[in-house]
Amino acid sequence: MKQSATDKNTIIRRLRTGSIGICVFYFLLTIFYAERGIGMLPNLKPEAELEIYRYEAISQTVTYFLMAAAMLLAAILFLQIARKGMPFQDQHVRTVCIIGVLFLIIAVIPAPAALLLAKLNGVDTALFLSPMISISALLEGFLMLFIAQILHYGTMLQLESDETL
Amino acid sequence: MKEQAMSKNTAIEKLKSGSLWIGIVCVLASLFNAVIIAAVFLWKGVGFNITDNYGRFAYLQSLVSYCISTVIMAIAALMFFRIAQNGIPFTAKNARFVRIIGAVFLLDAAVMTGAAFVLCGTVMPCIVDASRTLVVGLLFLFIAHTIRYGAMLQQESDETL
Repeated sequence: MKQSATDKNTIIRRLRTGSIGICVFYFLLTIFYAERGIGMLPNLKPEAELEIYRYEAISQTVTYFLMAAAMLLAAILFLQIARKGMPFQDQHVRTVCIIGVLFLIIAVIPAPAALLLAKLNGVDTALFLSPMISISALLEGFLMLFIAQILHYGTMLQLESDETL
Repeated sequence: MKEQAMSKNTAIEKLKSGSLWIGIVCVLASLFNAVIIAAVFLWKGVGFNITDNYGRFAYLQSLVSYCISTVIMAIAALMFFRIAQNGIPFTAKNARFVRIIGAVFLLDAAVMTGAAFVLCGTVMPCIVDASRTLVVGLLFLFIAHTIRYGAMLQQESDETL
């Protein structure tokens, strides 16, 4: 029992150290996506070379900002793990669920919404090149929701363990 | 206590069905990659006519990436089918599977960097891909640790019951 507690403490310590590195990485990714989103903002002005490019830019800007939000949430999640050393908590399950939903939104919303907006404004959409559905983002979204389910199961085990002790 | 056991069973059922679907997707992705390797690289043998070193590197990088992702998807499929069978994600064996996936990613990064250095004399052509693969590999090693921690909790839970 004592051996098991020592093993558990060693793993918790490793999880905390690992989380710090991953948290820094996700913060850098947040900055990267936010910077790209901000860089796209000038393309949203009406004087774009071709009117349809403006709508394409709208779709990409929304995607970049949503990605930045997802990365920021992931960074906060790892920061919390680094602070407490507990990966299985209800709050983390919620965060991973939100990240999953953000990925699903990125997969199916920005491009069709921008295309619809362009059509409503009477713009020729023949040159709209962004794919309507991002398959990879869709799969990542479902995978995140599945990981949230695993974490949820982990929180139950953690609760049992805490109650036993 | 009874309610807790019931919600645990519900969670296990959800994990089982979710794992089955993800396992199927992994098998399909693995097969897709294998078909691409067979069709494009082996059957046509396009890479052998490339004389430019940067071109050779790009060819080798794609070939290695496809092979490695085939292996990773096959391991992931195996793991998800195991979870679909017993409904328990936190086992020492699953932690080992995830650690192997992480190690394969790290190997991919090392092979890419080595190939770029040998063929092009610099690591610049692969710096972005290799660093991304390195980070993903480390993330998987972290997930393996989390699963190991979960396996300890699972063992405690089983012993209590």
